[in-house]
Amino acid sequence: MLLSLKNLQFRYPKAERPVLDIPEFSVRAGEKVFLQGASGSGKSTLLGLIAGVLAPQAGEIALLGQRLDRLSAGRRDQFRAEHIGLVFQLFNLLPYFNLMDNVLLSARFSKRRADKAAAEFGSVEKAASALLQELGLGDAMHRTRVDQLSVGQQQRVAVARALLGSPELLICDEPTSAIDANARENFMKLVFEQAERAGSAILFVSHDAALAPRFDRQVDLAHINLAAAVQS
Amino acid sequence: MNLLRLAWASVWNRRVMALLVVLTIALSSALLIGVDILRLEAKRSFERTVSGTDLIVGARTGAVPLLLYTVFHIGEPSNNMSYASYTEIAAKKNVAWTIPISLGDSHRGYRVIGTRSAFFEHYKFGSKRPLTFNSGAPFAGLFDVVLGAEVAANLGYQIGSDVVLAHGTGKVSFAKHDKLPFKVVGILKRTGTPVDRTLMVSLEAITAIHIGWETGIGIGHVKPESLAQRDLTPTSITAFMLGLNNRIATFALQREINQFKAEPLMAVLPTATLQQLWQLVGVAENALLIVSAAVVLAGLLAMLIALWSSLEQRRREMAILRALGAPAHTVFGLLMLESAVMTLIGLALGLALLFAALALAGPTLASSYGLYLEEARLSVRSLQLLGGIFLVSLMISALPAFVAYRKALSDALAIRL
Repeated sequence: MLLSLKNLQFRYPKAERPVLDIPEFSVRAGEKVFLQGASGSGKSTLLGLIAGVLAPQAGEIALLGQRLDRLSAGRRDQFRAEHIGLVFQLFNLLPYFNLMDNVLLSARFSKRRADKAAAEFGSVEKAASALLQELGLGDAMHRTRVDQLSVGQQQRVAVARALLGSPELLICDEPTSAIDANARENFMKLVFEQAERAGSAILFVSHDAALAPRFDRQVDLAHINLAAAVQS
Repeated sequence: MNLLRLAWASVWNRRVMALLVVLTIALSSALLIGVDILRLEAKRSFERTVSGTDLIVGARTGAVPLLLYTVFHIGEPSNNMSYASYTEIAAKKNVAWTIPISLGDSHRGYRVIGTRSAFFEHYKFGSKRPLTFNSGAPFAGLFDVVLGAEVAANLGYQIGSDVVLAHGTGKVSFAKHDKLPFKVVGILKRTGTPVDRTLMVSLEAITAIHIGWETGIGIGHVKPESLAQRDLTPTSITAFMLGLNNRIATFALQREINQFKAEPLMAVLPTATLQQLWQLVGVAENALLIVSAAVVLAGLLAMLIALWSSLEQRRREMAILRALGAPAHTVFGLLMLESAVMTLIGLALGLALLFAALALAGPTLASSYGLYLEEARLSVRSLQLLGGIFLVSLMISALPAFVAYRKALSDALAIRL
């Protein structure tokens, strides 16, 4: 099992009740999971816990067999850098860097991923270049500042960065909500292709049910989260 | 790709704001260090004005005013002392030498002092350095005049030039001793003291040009030829400096002069009075330093404002770095690094500006204020001030950096519109 949660409970410091109370949730290696949930249902909190930015009050989170709930904040940060690629809805990129520099950022924080990318492509730069190429961003653009790109192009750069060095888990938080419908199809196709190639599992959060069918499994957060049941 | 490059790229992205902050820090630190250097130099040039003189004697007044008008030629003497008292004290046994001083005339704004050639022999400044001649020699004839370096340089006089003295000490005078012009016989080397801005003539010359001026305006006509027959011994002088054979006698002589029977006189110790005077100046000097420190603080606050207002804009940057696995303290470090670099550049630029300004203003300061900055350099204290600015800047920027750190902890993955 790549990721497994057991009896996970999380409550924000000043809140009276927990946002999350998840008895069991897991993702297998290479699996593509579609996580659906209304806004405010605790999706981002769950992703924060899995990514190791937040720590649960109770329960277990294991990624690659490593208990994140037992690691210090600094170790969790390092663990995230090594094993997780993240793509957000918007603003994934440093606007004052070019495409290459943005993609290379993930290698900056993880030596393991830098080595992995270099082993496969010869150098980290070549790996970044190849990924961008595969995602439809040609050589000519690699030195352009990212704030000159369309939103769709920016999201593809973000995917390239998230997948550089083949992390085991790719987490996408509403990555398509700012992309128009035509580009969305192509974007999803590219994400799937590249994640498969890297061997990364996908945990894809969205409220756009139309995207769900192409995933291995669909999960509604309301169904696995007991805290939500209490609320409604 | 290292942290420094990231910080640099981020700052470069906000370069206008960053530049303004750097300029603010540069200007305010230049001001602070400038004030510090100027006050050190002022004190130095002040303390070197007179040395080797044991007592200054004049009509009874305050110690500070006596020093001010005899040495610095500032203000007007309230009373003269009689020449007879002067000769009596000068003849006392421990007195090695005396320099009489007679004030009251001027030449185009520069003070004229009537004195004796002992002035060139015994007046010492700095670390007991004597006066030396750039050209010419001390006055010998009645209408010979010796010029201070600055007088000669600014008015373009050379040996042999004619100089007409004016009655009174204003810059523009309508009462001139123009019947009796003087001839320049000597020009002194620059000393960095008020001597540079002085014309020196003999006591007898002062008497001579004032014949017929007893009422304050020139009514008599004196022909130069007729002066030879007259007794030009002055009846009074303004003050005199004296040196002793044995310095142990200083206090005894001072007491003796202060209790002088014939007329009310006073004797002051120049070094003690210089210090007393500097303490007076010191208040203003400290006020100036405090004001410039406040300016620096305002400059640093500008940086704080800039950092703070950039925080919102940079939450995105911070969140991206966090998502990539940067620890929260890296976010803190980035902000601190940024302000450290901006402060350092600001301080360096400030020093460059300051020394450029000092080099430009040096001649004016020397000629108009008698402030010589040739030796101006960074004192230990200036370095401490610079270090202090740097530390305060780090302390100030720790605040927004800490807020960014907290935000980076709590909303690491919350990148939203």
